[in-house]
Amino acid sequence: MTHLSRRSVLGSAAAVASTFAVVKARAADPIKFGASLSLTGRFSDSAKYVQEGYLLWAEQVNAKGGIKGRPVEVVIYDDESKPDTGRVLAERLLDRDNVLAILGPYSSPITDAMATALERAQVPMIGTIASDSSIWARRRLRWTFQGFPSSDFDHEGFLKVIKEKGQGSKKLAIIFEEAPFSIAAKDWALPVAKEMGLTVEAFGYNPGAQDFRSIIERMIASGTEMVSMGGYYQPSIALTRQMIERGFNPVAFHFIQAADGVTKEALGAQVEGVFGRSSWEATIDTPANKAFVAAYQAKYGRIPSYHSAAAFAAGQAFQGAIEEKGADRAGIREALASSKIETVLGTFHTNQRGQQDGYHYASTQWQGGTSYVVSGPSARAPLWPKPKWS
Amino acid sequence: MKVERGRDLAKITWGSLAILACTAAMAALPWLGVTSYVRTLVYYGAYFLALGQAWNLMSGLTGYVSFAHGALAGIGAYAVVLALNADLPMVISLLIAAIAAGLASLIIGVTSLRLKGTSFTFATLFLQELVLLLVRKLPFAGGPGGIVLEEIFPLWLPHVLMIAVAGGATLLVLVFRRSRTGLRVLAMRDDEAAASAIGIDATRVKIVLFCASAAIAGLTGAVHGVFASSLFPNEVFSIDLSIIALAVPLIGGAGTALGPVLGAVIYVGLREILQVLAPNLHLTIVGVVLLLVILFMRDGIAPALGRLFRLKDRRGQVPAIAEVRA
Amino acid sequence: MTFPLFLQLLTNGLVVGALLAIVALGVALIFGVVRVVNFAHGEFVTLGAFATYLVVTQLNISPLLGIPLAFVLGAAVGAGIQAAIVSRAAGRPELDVLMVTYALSIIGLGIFSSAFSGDFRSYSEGPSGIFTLGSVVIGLRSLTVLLVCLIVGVGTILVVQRTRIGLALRALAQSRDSAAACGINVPAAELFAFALAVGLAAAAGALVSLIGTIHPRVGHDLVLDAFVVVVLGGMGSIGGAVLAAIAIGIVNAFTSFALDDSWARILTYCLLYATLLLRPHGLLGRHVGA
Repeated sequence: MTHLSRRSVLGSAAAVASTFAVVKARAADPIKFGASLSLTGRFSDSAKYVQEGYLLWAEQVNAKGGIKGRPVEVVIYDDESKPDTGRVLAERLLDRDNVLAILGPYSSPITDAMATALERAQVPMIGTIASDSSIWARRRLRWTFQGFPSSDFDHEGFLKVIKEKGQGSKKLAIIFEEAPFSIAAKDWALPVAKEMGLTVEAFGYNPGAQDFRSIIERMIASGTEMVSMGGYYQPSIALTRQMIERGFNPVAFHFIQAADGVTKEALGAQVEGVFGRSSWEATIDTPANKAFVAAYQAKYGRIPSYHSAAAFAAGQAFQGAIEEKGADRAGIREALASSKIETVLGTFHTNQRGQQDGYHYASTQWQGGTSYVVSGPSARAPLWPKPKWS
Repeated sequence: MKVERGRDLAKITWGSLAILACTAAMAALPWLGVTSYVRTLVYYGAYFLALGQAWNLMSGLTGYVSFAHGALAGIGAYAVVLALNADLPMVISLLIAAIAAGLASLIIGVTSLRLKGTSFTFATLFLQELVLLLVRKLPFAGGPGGIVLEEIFPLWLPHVLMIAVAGGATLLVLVFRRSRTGLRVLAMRDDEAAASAIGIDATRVKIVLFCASAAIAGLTGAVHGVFASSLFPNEVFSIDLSIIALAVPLIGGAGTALGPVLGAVIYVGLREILQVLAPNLHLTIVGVVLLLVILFMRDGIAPALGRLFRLKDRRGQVPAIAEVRA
Repeated sequence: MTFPLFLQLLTNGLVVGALLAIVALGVALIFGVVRVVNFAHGEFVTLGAFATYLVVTQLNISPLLGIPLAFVLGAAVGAGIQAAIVSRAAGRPELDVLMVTYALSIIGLGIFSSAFSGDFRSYSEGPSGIFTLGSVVIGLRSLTVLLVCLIVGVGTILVVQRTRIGLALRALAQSRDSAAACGINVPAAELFAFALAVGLAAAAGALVSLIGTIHPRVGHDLVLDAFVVVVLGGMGSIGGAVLAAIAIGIVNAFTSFALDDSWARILTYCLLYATLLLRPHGLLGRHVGA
């Protein structure tokens, strides 16, 4: 038995080694980018949209003759929503696929895991959907840059609307998930809200929670008028439904993921008047953005989500960096650390720690079945108070 | 009987030498010019093997299924990062990690090992959730944001350590299951009532074994903590690691020393191949392999292959059951 | 705490507890009769949830009709799996049988993840509105869940207590050998128990889809709570599981109100370990023969 097991171990090792040689032998003329995305597992819904954004970007660049005449190729693997798999894939993308730089994965833990590997290997990465600024706060990352508006400002837009509109309302409840991004956003919002003269209460819940009835009872008991929910999409929908069921009608209700088109599907007519915040909107009126939306619709047959736009923007940021400094890792890093690059999300620019400070969120609100931007110039007037649940 | 002991001794000797040689060769990889991708694969193979052997030592030998080994490894990872950040030396930190996991296992062991296997399985299953909830609530453990190892160690260090833990654990299982106590434990797995009738304190043996197994899991998790250097509670205490800890030995052959080695190689290989061929079906296929192995090979691939070969060697002689188990 | 608030929290806890009870009932039934901890039980809940989702969104059928449909689908799938897979492991060591259902759970999770991606889905069709009783407010969807759980739960207990096949199930739960010796068709009884339990799980999934969101792990998460309840209720005891489920639902509602849901869960698990240590046969259980 001993004998046989050992032989089969060696056998499969040899098989793995030979596949390598074949792949390595291929020439690398195009500029190669690598990505590890959570195509299966917890984050697969959003990761799919990110993938579409990357592929569309590569296609568009190649249709226009590539970057400095070289075509672009994106190698994508599935990290199953697991950081450990992300670590292996980082090595695989660098060693086997010889990629020049990494387009970011979906979730914070995986971004963090890959960033550690890339610091060692000195390879640049853009954290495409990494809204979670704590990745850059918990340690100094020199090679990874935030490519998405920072989550610290999740409640900012709603607070601005309250400042403008909510004269009579004083009691605000902030609901947060016990996850780093959500806690950081709450910690940012609490002092700002107090400054505004509001009475604020914060309620935490366990990741994965489905039952918010007890939090709702507490809000009712303390006379809450305005609610800002800073958690993921699924708990936000659960919370909303349970608020409807309980007949709890706040004057204004905001949840950070509300601008997503699927919200209407989940809530039906009840979506009227719900505030959200948006990193990007298909309606943004710039030529570059219009071209992106049109190309996406032509390819996938629907309006892109912000995930796809952020993915497209990450590609554009790399493109800008390469056009400025050439297809070289150190040069790309330098450009991402200091330059301003125009993308569909706005102006890419990072601070000393690599955190994004060029992109900002806009406030949105559902009005008559459509999510509109209600902050900034040429925005619609917000609906206040929110109509009662029907 | 004498002959049997002699053959056993020879098996232990040759087996140990083979394990030591493999361990040394794998540990030397960072200096042999292989790419970091291959090194990473070998590292993960060793990681899963170490975890699988830790599980094997308890569950493979006693038949009491543990779902806690991922959580125990997580406790080790947390302990080592906290200890290293407090400027304790590496060896002491690793030791603390092993002890922390061992202590945690006592909670489960003492509450549930007097009972039937099902109670133990449930008790281990819930540990995962309980530890995750507690870690998120404890400020010194970094709360929901997790903790970061302040010093990033060179990769060869966790690589060598992990290979050593995996090799050591394999050696331990090889020697232990042929020792006097090991044979008693195997007897207990097959018939607990009879075993206690001949004077084995089943509960005590199980608690000690589970504690040792947990210490190895803690050590494994600690080394991985050094490798990963950044811990998020939701990832460290996810059920996935516990699944790997039991899938690796079960696919290869639970209760044997070499089964988990085969299981780890198959698992890592399968994962890499499916990554390219069918990324969406990875979980499903691991499940199907596990199901087929349990239904049709009973004690795993390694023993099944062993039987196949021995039958050929002896031209159709049916091996005795005891031999098949060994 | 005011009395209306007390009543409201009690009602909220009851809804969660009732749903949990239906899932736990199935786990206890399978454990008692087939002697298997069905780790795949959660995946059958997910199956019911997705089936209802598809029926509602693709065929425009009311989610209320989705509940019996999910039950029938679950029972059929359950019977098939028991006959084709789980029964093959009958009589094998505990580890083997556990791993069979565990492998099924991984397979199910993998299938749902790849077929439906990790998307969170929900629909707005079906009953909507609010029902008020005194000061207590309950959504019509939650009320539906409560009523269906009551009907299904009582129905199942009647089947087990009052029918011939129920007698066979109870005999089997007490002693396998004697039941076989009395001429009970053991494989048939096991098949029935498994199909019934999986049907219940799928029906529970339909109810989950009505008040929650649907995703590939929805059942997986719920069944962990069901296991807690089954241990607390005394393993294999159907009545114990139901009572423990409702108790846990209510206690959690109050603890979440007073502290938060993390502490509520921590308390539940501590209670669980204390129960294992002090009353290994459950809070309500008596020592029933092996």
